[in-house]
Amino acid sequence: MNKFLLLAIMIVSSSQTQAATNSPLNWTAISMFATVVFITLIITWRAARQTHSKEDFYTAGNSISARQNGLAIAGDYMSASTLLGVSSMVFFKGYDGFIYVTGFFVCWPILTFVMAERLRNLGKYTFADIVSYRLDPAKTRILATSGSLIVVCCYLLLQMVGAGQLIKLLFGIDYKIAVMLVGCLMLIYVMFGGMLATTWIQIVKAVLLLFGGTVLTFLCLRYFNFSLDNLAAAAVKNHNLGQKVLEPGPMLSNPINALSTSIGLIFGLAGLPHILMRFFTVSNSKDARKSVFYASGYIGYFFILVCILGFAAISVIGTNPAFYVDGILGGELIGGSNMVAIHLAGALGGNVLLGFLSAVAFATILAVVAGLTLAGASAISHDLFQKVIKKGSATEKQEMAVSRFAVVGLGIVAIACGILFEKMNIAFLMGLTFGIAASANFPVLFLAMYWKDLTTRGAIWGGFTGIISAIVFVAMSPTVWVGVFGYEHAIFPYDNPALFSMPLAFIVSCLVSLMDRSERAAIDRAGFEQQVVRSELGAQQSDLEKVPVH
Amino acid sequence: MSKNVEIAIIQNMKFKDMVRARNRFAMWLSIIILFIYFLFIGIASFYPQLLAQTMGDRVLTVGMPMAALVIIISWLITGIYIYITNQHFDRIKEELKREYQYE
Repeated sequence: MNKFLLLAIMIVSSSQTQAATNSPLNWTAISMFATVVFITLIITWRAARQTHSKEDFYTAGNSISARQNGLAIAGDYMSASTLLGVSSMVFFKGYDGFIYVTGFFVCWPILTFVMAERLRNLGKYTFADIVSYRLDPAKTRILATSGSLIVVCCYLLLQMVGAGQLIKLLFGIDYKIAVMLVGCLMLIYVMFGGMLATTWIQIVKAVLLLFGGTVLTFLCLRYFNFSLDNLAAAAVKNHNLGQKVLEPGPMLSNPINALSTSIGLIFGLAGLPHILMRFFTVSNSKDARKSVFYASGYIGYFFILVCILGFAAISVIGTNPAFYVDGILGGELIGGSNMVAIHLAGALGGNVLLGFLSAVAFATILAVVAGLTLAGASAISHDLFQKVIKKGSATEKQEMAVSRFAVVGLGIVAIACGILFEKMNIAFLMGLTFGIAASANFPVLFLAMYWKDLTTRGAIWGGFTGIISAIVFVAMSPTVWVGVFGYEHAIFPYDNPALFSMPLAFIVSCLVSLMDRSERAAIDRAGFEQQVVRSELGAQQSDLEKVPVH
Repeated sequence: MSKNVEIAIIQNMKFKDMVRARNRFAMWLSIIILFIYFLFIGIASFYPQLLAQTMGDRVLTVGMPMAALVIIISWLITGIYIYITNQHFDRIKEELKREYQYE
């Protein structure tokens, strides 16, 4: 452990010197950034001393309270792209950005109503526990692991590339070093601190993010004399869209595309493994339910703040040539289009707030990446290694060892791909991540919980149909077919496949299940009622490990 | 032993009714949320002029508070769900658990 600490300190200090030579103005940012890293390492060190069993590693020993878990869930969901991406979307596109954000929000109530408690009652470490509760454990776990790993890897890659570019901008560190820094820090957190460290880093970051956003919004509102109408009037005056900046715009000119994106966002959330695993860290279903309520409160509040920031930036940033390359208003923003919120912090709060927000953005990336890696590692060690390969006979020690190898493996893959894809257009991964989550993980999970007649065969066929169709649709979509392969016209006209691939997965699952007359199918169906009892009342203490029907 | 308990609970009408009521409750709330959201998206796509109206003599359009309301209302509905589940369904569950010594 000490060796890794040293390594981290070396990387941090070497990057400091480099950043200092590139842009001497960033010292405030860098000292805050160092503080954030220091705090997270202390959290990890303390968590490592408490992490002994696999319960600790995967679920922090169910020791997280509803309020804490609410913050951690919010932290998992509010990635750097929420703060930076959404504020710049509103800055450039106006009201359309706000519409987009509502889609990011309404998935939370649905998740609460449909999933939260049942997840907690039926699962222990991963969402595959629920899928395989009454179905054939080996086969369904392979499916769930494939779904989880594809989602985790795509999302991880998106975050890594985003992280590299962001850190390069914020601190002037070289892209490759930035990616390696994020990768190594994340490895330390997850490997030594497990779920406990990951959760606490997430909580700290969520608090910092909410605090930073609140301060910045307060400064914005003060700038406009605490009148939203002044703010709107100034935005209308200064945006090249004029009054249209406050009206629904071109984003919804293609309603089917908008619908497909909404479906992907809403149901994709219920299939993101790093969000689902958060429900296993609380001690009972009541806390699971409450934690989503807290989480969605924080998230909704933050989304509204970020939209206000975007509208304020139109007047604060959009009229000041100092923020544009070569001082050309309406040209390219210094540091790229995602820097709106950061520039806004600099303009209204000076160097201190700029540094603070940059450090928070960095902490955000670290925390989200750590959560993703932990979700991927538990899918590999708990589902694939313990349950599929070893049929449950591996010792706890072996399983822990595999999970740590998996963390290292995922870390190396993330760093390597992050560096490899630096210059690639990877925007399509967003559609793919949510597409697969919504069309493979969600249908299988939902049917396993609610539909008596789902059989193993139906789940496998439906799940893989979801995965494959999502990949095929994304490959034929405009972003990949035209943007990456360079063909003239896309075969599939929409960027998000969910509207088509999700119903397809449901239909295939249902049809195959209904036609399934195998012996296994009878066992699968017979297990349902007992599963209902447990999903409502929770597992009995004496019965935690035992799975009734196999 | 535990299997027998679970089978007994399945047969219990109180349990059956509770599960049915709970599923229906969750389904209706989900439908309400999805309805509000897709109504909002639908208006924004097909009747954008409705959201583009300004509010009185202000510059602010109707769409702004509407988008914020979609977020706030769906959050409040989550709150209602949690309140009713805590007050009503959890109590029935506790009774059932005690009745069958299901711990």
